[in-house]
Amino acid sequence: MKKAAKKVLVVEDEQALSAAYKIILESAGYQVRTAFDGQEALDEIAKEDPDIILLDLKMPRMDGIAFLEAYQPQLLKKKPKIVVFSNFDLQDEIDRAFSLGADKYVLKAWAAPKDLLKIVSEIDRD
Amino acid sequence: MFIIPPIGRLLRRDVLLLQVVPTLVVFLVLLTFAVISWRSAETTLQAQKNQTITEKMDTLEDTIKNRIQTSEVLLRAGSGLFDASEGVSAHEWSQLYGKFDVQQKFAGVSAIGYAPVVQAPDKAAFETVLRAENNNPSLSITPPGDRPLYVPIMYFERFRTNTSNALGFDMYTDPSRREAMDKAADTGKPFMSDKVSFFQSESSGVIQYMPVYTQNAPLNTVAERRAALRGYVFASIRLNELFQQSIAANNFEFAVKGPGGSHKQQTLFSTMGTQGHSADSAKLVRSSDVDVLGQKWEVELLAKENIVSATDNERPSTILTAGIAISLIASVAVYLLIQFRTRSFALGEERKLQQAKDELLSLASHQLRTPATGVKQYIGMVLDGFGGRLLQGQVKLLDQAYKSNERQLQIINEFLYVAKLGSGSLTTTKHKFNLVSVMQDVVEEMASEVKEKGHTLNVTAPKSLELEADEHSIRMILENLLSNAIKYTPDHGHITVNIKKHSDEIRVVVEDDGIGIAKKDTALLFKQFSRIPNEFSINISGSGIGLYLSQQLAERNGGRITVTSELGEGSAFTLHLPNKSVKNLTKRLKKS
Repeated sequence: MKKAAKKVLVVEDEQALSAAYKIILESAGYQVRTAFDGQEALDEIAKEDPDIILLDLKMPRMDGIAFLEAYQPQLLKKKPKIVVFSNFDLQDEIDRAFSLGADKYVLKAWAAPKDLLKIVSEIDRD
Repeated sequence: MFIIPPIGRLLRRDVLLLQVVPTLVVFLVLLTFAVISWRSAETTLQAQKNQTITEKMDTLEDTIKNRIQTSEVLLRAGSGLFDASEGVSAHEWSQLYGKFDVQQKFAGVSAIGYAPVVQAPDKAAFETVLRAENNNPSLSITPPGDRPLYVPIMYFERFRTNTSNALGFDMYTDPSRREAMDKAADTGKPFMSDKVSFFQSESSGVIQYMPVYTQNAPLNTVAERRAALRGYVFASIRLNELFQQSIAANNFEFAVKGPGGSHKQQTLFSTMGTQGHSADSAKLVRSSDVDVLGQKWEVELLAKENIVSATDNERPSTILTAGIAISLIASVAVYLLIQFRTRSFALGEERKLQQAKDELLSLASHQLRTPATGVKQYIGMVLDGFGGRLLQGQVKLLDQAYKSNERQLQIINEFLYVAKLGSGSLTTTKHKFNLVSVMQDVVEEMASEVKEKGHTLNVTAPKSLELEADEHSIRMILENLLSNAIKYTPDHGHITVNIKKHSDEIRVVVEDDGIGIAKKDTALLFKQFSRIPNEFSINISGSGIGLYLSQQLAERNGGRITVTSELGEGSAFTLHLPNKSVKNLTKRLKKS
């Protein structure tokens, strides 16, 4: 029996990147939804819990840190894996993200399409 | 570049205004307070001294008056005896004064006597009575000679040893005595003589006279009193004994001055010069006139330094010393406090500024990276076949575009690092990792470039080598060294990488047989934005910060990069890293 597709929520304000990630991940069989900012992400999560969240930090309205503060994944049976995927590399903010439940930080600029797939599949395996 | 200079030191004027002036103000206020307290203590001490002196002087005056008045009682008793009976015998005289216990209770009184006024015609009769009353046939009026008036001593009761028997002595022959007697007679009151020498004696003193008048005679005027005068009751008083028995006082000396012979003022008595007393240390602090039986005596009080206790005496200087000390200590404390506050304020400001700088750097790099990231994704996707199959020529062109994009991101990263180094906000986190596997990653990343240039790359390394350092920094250094070797070696060159653990350090040597570097240029290698002109540097893109950054990062991890090279012979760059195992450290210590 075929395994159910993993659900990935891409939280990214840069439309071009968001669209690219959706194409790349869907090509590998993931079920992908996108959110423009933290607030939209919370709305999407309210509809359905994802397995993996790719989270940008710098976003309008509600940024990545504010999202992590608002998000309460502890209440879930299975907590989604959260990959902070951002070009913003202020150490204090990265530390804060980890303290709020992030599982991994990746500097977005270093991740080519192949790398993105590798990161997502690795975090899924962990 | 995003380098904002750190907060400057406080200007000299600010230091003066913010630190020195408040400190001085505090010091001056406290010092003023100390001086005021000191002055006040001085005033209090002076008042205390004055009070002590006044009390002492009052006591002295009272004592002198009391003593004189006490002996006056004796005079009035004698006078009363004559008032009571027409004739008083030597026996009655002696009996009267025997009851007074004069020796014990009347200080200084050496004798009490009675001397009648004898007119010249009555001289012989008086002498007969004198001899009979005193049972002494040899008595006569002395000094001999005829005078219109005599006041010879008829009764004489002595209370001290060494008192000559003055019976018969005509006191009227002595001017000092005569003056006192006349004044007493004219006023009807007791009167005291100047200082006189006692009859046939080495001792001296004063004589108090009390006039005795005829019973029931009118005594209203001087003439009536003169007419009624019968004689005088008198008391000889030795001044030394009068004063000495009484007024012994700690820390004080005193002197009594009064008229002597021919009214000259002379010292009647002084505590100084007596045993245990000396005038050296005593100073005159008060003088006062005392009226005693018609005489004016001047009493001088002399004080030594310690009329108040040593503690009281030293209190003002103690207060001043303590005040100055407290002012100094408090000012230093205030100064240090201000300094501390200023410093912590400056530190706080610097920290805020640092945070702002970090934020700005990260934001700037974020903004620069984001569009480049988009380019990277889409070219990557096209190359990965997301847009359909590509022709050979298209792949080649897109590869170039991809590499340019990579290079752009690399440069953004390098600039960010240099900016962080410059602003001091680069944080490195040390942890243990396998150096060999990081090297393998780097080699893998660059495999396509090596292949493209036809180089051979040999890596010699142990299976694994644990290192404690900032992994990201080390990775950047290795990438830079290997990338330089690939770029600056002509096609089909030989590159070797050697990782080895030595007793004192870990060395990573990246060697090539490329164009090499002239000796004169090696110093330029690690300088920011410096590129050495050669056939490659013209054609190869570079920011000129790679080696500078690598060296800085190596130093941050306790290491350094060295180079050996010959122009045309190739280069060897060595990354030296500390080998921090405790075992090795112990060995080194033993060696040294």
